[in-house]
Amino acid sequence: MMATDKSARHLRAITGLLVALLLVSFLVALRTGVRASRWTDLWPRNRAIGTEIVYSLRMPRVLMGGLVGMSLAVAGALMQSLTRNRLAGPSLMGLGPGATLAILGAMILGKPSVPELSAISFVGATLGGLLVFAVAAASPRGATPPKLVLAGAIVGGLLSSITGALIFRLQLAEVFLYWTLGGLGTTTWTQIVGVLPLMVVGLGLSWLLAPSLTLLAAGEERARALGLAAERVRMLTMLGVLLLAGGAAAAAGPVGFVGVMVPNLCRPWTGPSVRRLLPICALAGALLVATADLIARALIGQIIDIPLGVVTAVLGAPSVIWIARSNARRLP
Amino acid sequence: MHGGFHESAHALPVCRDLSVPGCVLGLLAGSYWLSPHRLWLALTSSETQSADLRLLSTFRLPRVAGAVLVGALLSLSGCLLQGVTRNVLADPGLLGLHSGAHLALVILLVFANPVAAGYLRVPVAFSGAVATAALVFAASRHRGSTSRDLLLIVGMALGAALHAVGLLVAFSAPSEVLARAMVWTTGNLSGIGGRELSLLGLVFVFVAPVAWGIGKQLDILAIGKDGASSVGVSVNRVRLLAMALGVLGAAVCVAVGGAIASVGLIAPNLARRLVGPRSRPLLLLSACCGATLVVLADTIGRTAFGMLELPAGILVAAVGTPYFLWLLVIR
Repeated sequence: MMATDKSARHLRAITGLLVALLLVSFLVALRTGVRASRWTDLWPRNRAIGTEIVYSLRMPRVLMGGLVGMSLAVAGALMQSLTRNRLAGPSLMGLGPGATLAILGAMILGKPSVPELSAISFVGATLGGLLVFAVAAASPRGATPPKLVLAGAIVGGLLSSITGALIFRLQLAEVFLYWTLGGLGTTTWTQIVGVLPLMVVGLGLSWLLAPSLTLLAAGEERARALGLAAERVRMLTMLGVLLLAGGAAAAAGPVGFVGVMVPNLCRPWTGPSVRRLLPICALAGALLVATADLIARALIGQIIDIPLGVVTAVLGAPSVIWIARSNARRLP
Repeated sequence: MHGGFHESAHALPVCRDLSVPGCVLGLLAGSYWLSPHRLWLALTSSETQSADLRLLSTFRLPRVAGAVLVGALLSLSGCLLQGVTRNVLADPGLLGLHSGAHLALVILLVFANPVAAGYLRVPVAFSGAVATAALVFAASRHRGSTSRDLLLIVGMALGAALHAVGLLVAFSAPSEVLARAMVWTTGNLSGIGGRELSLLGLVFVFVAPVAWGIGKQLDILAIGKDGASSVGVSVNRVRLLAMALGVLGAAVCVAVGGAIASVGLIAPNLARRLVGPRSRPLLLLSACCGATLVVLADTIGRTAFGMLELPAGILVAAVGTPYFLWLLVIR
């Protein structure tokens, strides 16, 4: 998988650009809020109230935005490599629908606190994912990519239809619809400490699995002939998706769009190598969610509070279309 | 077309075994249970004033016919789009049809008064859906032809964005707008009357034969663009026709019945597992699977939950699941 000099340079330039943009959006996000901050407030040794706001309220939220975007985008890239389908994403694995249903159940049964909601959301996502995998694995020839895709579509559809029926029955549409679009409004440092291990393990796992996934995508027969244990790679990839998307669901609820779109956005730059795809995806995902949250926060109280999922879609769609069009020749 | 019927012959018994019991059940169940015997009597006796017959002709027959047409059209459309894009996850919603219709309806509800909105609902939703699909096609033209990969990406992205904008408008409007938009867009068949039924019928009578007619060409397309051109199939024209049919069928359904999500995704996949990938048997069986799914979902939705009826769109996935699991695990 030797890259030509030119495309390697191209990739390095894009990586650099993404890192720079991410840093800028990070700094701007720390300064933006209901109470405008000065640059000096960013200095940690300051004892001003502005510094307190920046470090205890804004910093966790901004960091979490980056982490969530990173995890979702990488989870999506893993799913798409695994199923060899560019429409696959974390929500296809039953993770999003599972988390949504679990949250709805909790909200019907009681008044869960924010940390409880995170935990419930993670458990729901995990159960949804396991259900999809169990259904696919129960079929005669195991969890092959087409079986996974179908099992994901059908189990996800079932879970969403249960959610839809409950919402309709209990007339919760307005309250819950708003919630299902995700948000980072309640992020605290404790929450970051809670989800960070999941995400770090998930990211590490996906980095280790990347070469095997590239091989698998080139054809299962060939990969097996080279001594790759396809079943084990699939199981571990699922685990990675579960950790990443589950962690993201715990942190921000079901934020759509990022997981499916970002890998599609990045693939024209990187080609078929998953190892090259993952870091770019992580950076682009982080940038998208961080910027979206920044915009959502900047607009608070202006017209209405805009949910994060709405901003990621409105912001992401034009860029996705533009990049896909300008790279149409190189679409794999 | 004798050969076409012949190769589809083995799909016919499955179609019959699926859709006939489904439709009969749809006629029997309702506000009160009509026994099969009374159904038979009402439909065959010379008496034209019986209460049973009136119930059937004013409520249940139109409802079941509407469900059959919506299910069949959505599945045909899903089948065509999956064939053209060669992706089993493609469905009408993917071209942004649902999102476009939703946005158009929300805007209508915000600006028009409720009575006018009621009249304009179907044409506005239809225009929203078709305009979105046209936009998706226009944005995925590249060097004179429609790129398949581009189509999926652009459709997904634009659909997500329009959906988000629709929600944004709905959130910022008075809360009854959101509530009505929800009712209109969650796949509800209760609004189907005579006019809607004839519209659906008309579109079905146009879409189904044309889809059947291009079935052979679609099969040849599946072997690849170059191979298809070399045996004399004009690739671009067949693709464009298939996609236009798919959009037309789905847009009418979305306009009349709201987003009955996932029928267009589930039914062709079920059918493919039963009869394989050849277009004609696949189209036939998809239409039957889809019709049965929607009839069953609608019947359950209006009977099983007491006074408040559940929209068919919510129940379709739930109805399809057991059968799908059986297919996946046992076969």
